[in-house]
Amino acid sequence: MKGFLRAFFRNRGALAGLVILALAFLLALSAPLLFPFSPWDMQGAPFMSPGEMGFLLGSDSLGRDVAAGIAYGAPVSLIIGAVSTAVALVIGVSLGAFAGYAGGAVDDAMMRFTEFFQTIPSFVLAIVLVAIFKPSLASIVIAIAVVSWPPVARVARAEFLSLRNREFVQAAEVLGRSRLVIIFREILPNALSPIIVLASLMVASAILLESALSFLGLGDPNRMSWGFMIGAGRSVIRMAWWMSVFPGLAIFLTVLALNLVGEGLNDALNPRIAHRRAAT
Amino acid sequence: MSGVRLLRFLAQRLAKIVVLMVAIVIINFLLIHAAPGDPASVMAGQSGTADERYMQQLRQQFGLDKPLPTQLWIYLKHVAVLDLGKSHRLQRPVADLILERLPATLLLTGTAFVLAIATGIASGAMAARRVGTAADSLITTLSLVFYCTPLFWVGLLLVLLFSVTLNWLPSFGMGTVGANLSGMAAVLDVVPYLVLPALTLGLFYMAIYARLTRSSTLEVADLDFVKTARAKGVDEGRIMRRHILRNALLPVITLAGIQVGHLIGGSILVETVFAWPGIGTLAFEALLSRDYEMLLGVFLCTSVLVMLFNLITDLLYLVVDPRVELA
Amino acid sequence: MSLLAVRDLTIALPIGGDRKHAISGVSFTLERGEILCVVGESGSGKSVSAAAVMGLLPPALKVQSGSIDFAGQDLLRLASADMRALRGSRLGMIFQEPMTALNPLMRVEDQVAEVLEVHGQRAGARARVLELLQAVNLPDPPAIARAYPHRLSGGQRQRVMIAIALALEPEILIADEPTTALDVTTQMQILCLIRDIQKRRGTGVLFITHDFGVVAEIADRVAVMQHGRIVEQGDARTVLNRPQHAYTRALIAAVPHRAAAARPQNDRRKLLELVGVDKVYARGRAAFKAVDNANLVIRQGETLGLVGESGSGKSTLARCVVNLVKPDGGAIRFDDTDLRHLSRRGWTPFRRRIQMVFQDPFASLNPRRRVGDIIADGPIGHGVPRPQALKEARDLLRLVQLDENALQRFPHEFSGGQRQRIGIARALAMRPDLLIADEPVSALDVSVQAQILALLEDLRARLGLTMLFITHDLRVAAQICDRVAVMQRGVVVEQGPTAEVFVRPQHAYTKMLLDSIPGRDWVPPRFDAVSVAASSMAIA
Repeated sequence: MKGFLRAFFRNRGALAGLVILALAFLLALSAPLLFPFSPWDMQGAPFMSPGEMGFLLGSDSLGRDVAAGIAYGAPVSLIIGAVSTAVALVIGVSLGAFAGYAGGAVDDAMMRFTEFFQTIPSFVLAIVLVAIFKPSLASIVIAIAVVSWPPVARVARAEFLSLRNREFVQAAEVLGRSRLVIIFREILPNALSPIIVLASLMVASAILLESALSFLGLGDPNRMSWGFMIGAGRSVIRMAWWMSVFPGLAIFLTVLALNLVGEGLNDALNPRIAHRRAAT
Repeated sequence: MSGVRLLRFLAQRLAKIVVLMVAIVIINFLLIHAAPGDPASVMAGQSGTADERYMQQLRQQFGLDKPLPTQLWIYLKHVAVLDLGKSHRLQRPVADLILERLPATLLLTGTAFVLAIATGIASGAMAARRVGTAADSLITTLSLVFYCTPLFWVGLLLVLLFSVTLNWLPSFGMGTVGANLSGMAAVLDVVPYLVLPALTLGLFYMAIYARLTRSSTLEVADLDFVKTARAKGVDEGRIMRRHILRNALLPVITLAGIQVGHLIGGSILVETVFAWPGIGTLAFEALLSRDYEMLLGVFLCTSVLVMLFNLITDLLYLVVDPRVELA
Repeated sequence: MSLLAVRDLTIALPIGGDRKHAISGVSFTLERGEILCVVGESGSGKSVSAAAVMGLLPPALKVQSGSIDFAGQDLLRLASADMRALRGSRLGMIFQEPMTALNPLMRVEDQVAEVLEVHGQRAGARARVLELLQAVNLPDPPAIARAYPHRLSGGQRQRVMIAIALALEPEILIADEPTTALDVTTQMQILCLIRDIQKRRGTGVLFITHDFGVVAEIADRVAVMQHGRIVEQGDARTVLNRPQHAYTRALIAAVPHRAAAARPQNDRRKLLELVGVDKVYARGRAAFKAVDNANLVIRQGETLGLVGESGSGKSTLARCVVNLVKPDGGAIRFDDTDLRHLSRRGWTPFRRRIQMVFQDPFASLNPRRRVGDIIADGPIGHGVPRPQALKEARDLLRLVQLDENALQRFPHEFSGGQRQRIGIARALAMRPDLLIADEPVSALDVSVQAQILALLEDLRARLGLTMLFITHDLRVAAQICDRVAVMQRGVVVEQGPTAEVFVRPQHAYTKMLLDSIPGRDWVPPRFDAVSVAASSMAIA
C-alpha cells in the first residue's frame, strides 16, 4: 500500500489531476456560498463580457451569471459521472466475473450479449433512452450506465478467466475452499487493479457523455449543467463567446484531471510499465 | 483461406447481422411501449398537436388494442418492408428521409475516419520512435488534450477561430445555398464546408489512435522477434516498418472496428454544431419535436451501419493476421 | 590468435539494481572450431556477456571498460553501421524462446531470406532458403518455407532460427540457452545439429546454458559465472571432473545424479490406483485425448515419478486425481473409494488427505495475502480454529526451514525457492496422506533445485508421506523416485522400479528419453559433505 502511494504521488500529472479534482469538488460544495442565488435567475444585463458589471465570466443571453452556472453545474457533472460509473461497475463486474469464472456455455452466452451491446452505437442509444423516458437525473444516470457497462464486463471477464487458472486459485480449490471464498478472497482482490484504472477513465467518459446529452437538450431541465450552457451559447457564439468557452473549459479540465489520475493509478499499479516509460 | 470457407464465413456473419437487426427492432418496439404514455402518442410525437384522428389511424395500423406479441409481429412486418413509420413533423416516411440524408453523414464520418486513422497512426508511430524526446512529449500531450475535450466544444472553438475570427471557412451547411452546381463544381463547393466538421470529428479519434499506436508500438518493440531481426543485422528503419509496425497495428484495427459506433454517434453532435444535413441533424430535429419514430429509425440505421463496418473490419483482420482462422 | 577475445569486460547495471555491475572484469577467448560453454544460474551475467558480443545490449546497460576483439577489431569501438554489417553475416545468434522469436506476420521463407537480402545477397535467395531449411533437417522444406511461424512446433522454430543464424556461414555462433525451452528429446536433436554443423564448418560456438549435463554433452571448454564474474574456466573434461572453485563444485554437486539406487521393495497396501482413466478435450470437430486409458498404482509410503515431455498428459492426469480436471472415463480409487463420482461436498474429507504442490513459485501464492494466512487457510476452512492454525503454520515454517517471521510477510518478499517451501508448507498444513508434486523444481535454479529435492526427501521420510512426483527431467526422477511411470501422448507406456526402468527400459520411447539425457555418459564427481556444505549458498 505504501509502495503504491509513493509511486502514485511521484507522478506529477496524477498529482495535478488530483488537485484539479479537489478544486472541482470544493467548487461543487461551495456553490451556494459563492453564489447565493439560483443560477437560473437573471442577475443583470445580458451579454456582458467577462469582467463587466461584476460578472466574473460574463453573462448569458438572459442575463444569467456564467460563473454561477459553472459552479452549480459542477455537482451535477460530478454526481452523474460518479453514480453512473458506480452502477455500470456493479453491472459490468458482476456479469463479467460470473462469465469469466463459470466459463463454457455461460461464458459464451454472456459474451454474445456483451458483443451485441457493443454493436449498438452507445451515444445514439443513450439519446434514445433519455428521450423516451424523459430527461431527469435518474434517466440520465441509467442511460449512461446502460451504455457504459460492456467494457467493464470485458475487462472483468478477462481478469477472471485468466485468474481462474492461476495456480494459487487452483491451490485454493485443492484445499477445498468454497466457490464463494475463492471468488471473493482469492480472485477478486487480484482482479481489481485494471478495474480501478478503468473506473476513473469511465467517470471521465460519463461526464463527456452527460455534457453531450445536455448540449442536445436532454439534460435534467431543473438543473444547470455545463453541456446545457454550451448548447445555449451555440447560436450566439459570434456575440458572446464566453458562454460557450468557459463551461467547455470546465468540462475539459475535469475530464483531463480524471484521465491523469487514471494514468497515475495505472502506472502505480503496474510498476514495470512505468519504468519503461521513464527509460529511453 | 479457401473461397468456400470465406463464403461460408460471410454468409454466417450476414445471418448474424440480420438476427441482431431483429433484436434491435424488438428493442425499439419495447421502448415505444415502455415509454410513459400511450404508445400511439409516442409514435405520433407529442409536439402538442395530438391529432386524435391520426392517432386512431395509428392504433388501427399497428393494432395497438391487440395483444403484445401480435403487435410485435405487425411492427416487424412493417420494418421488413422498410416501412419505419412516418415523421409526423415532416409528414414524410422515415425511411425516405434517412436514405436522403445518409450520404452526407457517410461523407462526413468517412472523411473524419480516414483523417483520424492516417494522422493518428503516423503521429503515434513517430512518438514511439522518438520516445522520451520533446517530440514524443508534444504528441502525447496534444493527444491527451484532444482526448479530453468534448466534441461539440471543439467544434464551436474551431468555428470561433476559423469562421468568426479569421473568416477563412464557412461555419455551417454543406454547400453554397442556392447555387445549383453539378459534377466537379459541386464536389469542390462542398470541400470548404467539410473541413471544420471533419476536423472536429477527427481530432478526438486521432488522439485515441495516436495513443494506442504509440503504446502498442512500444510494447511490440520489446518483443523477441525484434531482437531476432537485430541479430540478423537489419537496420532500424526496416525493423520499424516490416516488423514492429505491422504487428503494432493489429490492435489498432480492432479498436477502429469497435470505435465505429462511437464515431457515428459523435457525428450527431458535430452535425448539430455545423448544421451539416446528415442523419445526425435529422435525429436532433427529431429530439426537439419529440418525433420518436424518426429517432428510432435513426437508431436502427446507425446500428446497421456499425454492424456492416464491423464485418469489414473482421475481414480486414483476416487478411492481415495469418493466425486468425476461419472457424 | 583467438577468434574472439573478451578482455576485462565490465558492464554497469542501472541504479537500483541488486548489484553495481551486470558483469565485472570478464575475460575469455573463443578459438576456431571449438564450443565454449558459459555456465551460470540466473543473474550470473552470462546472457549479458553474450549480448555484449553481438552489440545487442539493452540501452539501460552501459559498458564501462574492457574490449571485445574479433577479426582484428574491437567490437565495442565499432560504429553502429559497421557492427550491423557484422551481425548476421559474421556473427550469428540464436535465443532461448523459439515460440516468440519469429515475426508472426511474415512467412518463414521471407524471414530467412531477410538475412540474405540485408547483407546484399538477394540473388538466388529463394533457392538458398530451401537449402538452408534442408540443412537443419526440417521435413518438407518447401511447405515450411511457405508457412507462418504459428504452424511450426518449438523445435521446428528453433531449427529455423539456426538456419537464419548460419545462413551466411558466420565465424561465430552465439547460442543463448537455445534448448532450455525445448523438450528433452528435441533438445538432444538440436544439440546434435549444432555440434554437427559446427564440426562441418569450423564455426566457433559460444553456448550459454545453466545445465551441466549440456556442458558434458557438447563443450570443449567451459567458463563458470557467478554474480557477474567468471569464477573458473578451462578445458571441459578438467572442469567437469576436477572442479577447483567452490561454486563450481556446488553447482556440480547440485546436478541430480542419474544413477538410480536400488530402492527397497514396497509391499504395503495400494493407496492410489488409477484404472483406465481417460480425458478427452473436444477442439472444434477434432477430439484430443489428453489422457488415454491410464493405469497407475501408488503404494503407501513410496514415491512414484510420472515422467513425460510437454503434451504427454502427466499434468492433466495429476489434476484428474485432485478433481481440478474432470476425467471422462475410468476409476480413481483412493483407499477403496472411487473419487471420480464424488460431488463437490463429497470431496471435502478427501481434501485433507490429498494435497498438491505446484510448479510456478511466482503464480502459486496469492500475492495479496500474508504467508501465515496462506498456510493456515486450508485448516481454517476445515474447522480448525484460527489461533491453532497459525501456531501450526509457525511449526510448518520451521519444518521447511524458513524463519518464523515469514508469517507476517507477503510472497513477493521471497525468492523462488523460498516460495516453493511456503507452497510445500501450505500443502502439509492439511496433513495429507498423498502429496502430488507437479514439477515442483522445474522453475528453479539448479542449486536451489537440489535443496528443495533434499527437503522433499527429508519430509517424506519424517512424515511418512506418499508422493506422486511429476517431472520432465529423468535425472530428477532417478534421484528421488522409488518407481517411475513414463507417459507419451496421454498413454502410460512403461512403469516399474526406477533402477529397472533406467537400466533395462522396455519401451522404445523410454529408451529414447534415456538416450536424450544430455551428458549421460558423464558421472558427476562426488565431493565430501564438508566442502560442499561450506560453500553452498544460504537457504534459497
